[in-house]
Amino acid sequence: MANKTDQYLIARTLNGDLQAFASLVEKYQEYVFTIVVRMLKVNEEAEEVAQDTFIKVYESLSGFKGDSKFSTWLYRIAYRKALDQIRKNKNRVQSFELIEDISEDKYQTIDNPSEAMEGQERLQRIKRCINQLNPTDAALVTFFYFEDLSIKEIASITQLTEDNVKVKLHRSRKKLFDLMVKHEVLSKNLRNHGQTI
Amino acid sequence: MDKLSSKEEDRLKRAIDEVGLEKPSKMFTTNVLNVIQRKMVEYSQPAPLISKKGWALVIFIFAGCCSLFLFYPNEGIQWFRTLEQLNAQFPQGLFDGIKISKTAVFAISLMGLFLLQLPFLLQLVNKQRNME
Repeated sequence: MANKTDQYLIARTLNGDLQAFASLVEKYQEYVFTIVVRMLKVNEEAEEVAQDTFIKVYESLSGFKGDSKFSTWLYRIAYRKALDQIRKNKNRVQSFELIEDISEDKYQTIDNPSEAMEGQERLQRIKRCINQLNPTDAALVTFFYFEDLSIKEIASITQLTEDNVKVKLHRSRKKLFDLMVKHEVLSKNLRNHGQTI
Repeated sequence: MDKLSSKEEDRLKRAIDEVGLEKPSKMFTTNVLNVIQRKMVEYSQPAPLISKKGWALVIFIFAGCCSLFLFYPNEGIQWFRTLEQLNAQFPQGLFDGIKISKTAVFAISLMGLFLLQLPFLLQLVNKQRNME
């Protein structure tokens, strides 16, 4: 159903209807932005790259044959754009690490393990954990959890083999889990005994 | 490396789901459309009023005339003679009584040129509108 709608909007866009493309942007902007921001870690930069992604999609839309889902094709472009941006902007990693260090200090000073961690603070901690993954791992986790994509689709987007995706995904989920335990988003008891807090 | 148990996996998924999707700025779609529209205007380069085919025709006619004058300089051409004959048949002194000032002649000439360009200009504007 969603695919039919996408195909309809694509056909309308190719006939010169810019509003149809606006509908596609509205529909997928949060998914694309989430993938890109998880990889780049910087909101402003991610917004620019996400915009570039949609512009590239518009320019290449006539070349989309429909062999894969539109969303898979779109995410592939977003993933590549984000990787290109990372390559272009190598200094970004250093500045990000610096920001993370500061965040860590702040986190250590304001945090009291006995306090209940809920709401915004908890969300910030989870985000901080995701942000500590490297760009590819962050993208894989995002595809796996947020987009509910299959291993095959993730492999198609990232141009990795399915086995490679499985291994990387397993490692990144394990790493993310350990980070969440470390940041006390999830309890150690859960890790050891499989119980909730 | 230990494999996450199903309960750990479940808790991890729930924790990640709590964060949800990130939202771009409210102007995101507008910004994307603005850039696309700007690019479309940049891409639509102004088309020349006389196309390549038009220029080829003009050059062909000009070259034809030149070659005629080159190969038949003094003998004259049958076609021109026919024109002269037709001109002779035309009633002479038909517009002798009419006097038009030079300014009016310039004005009529310019108007004629403008009217000649008008269909080309309309075609050009329509093309650009369709591209937008």
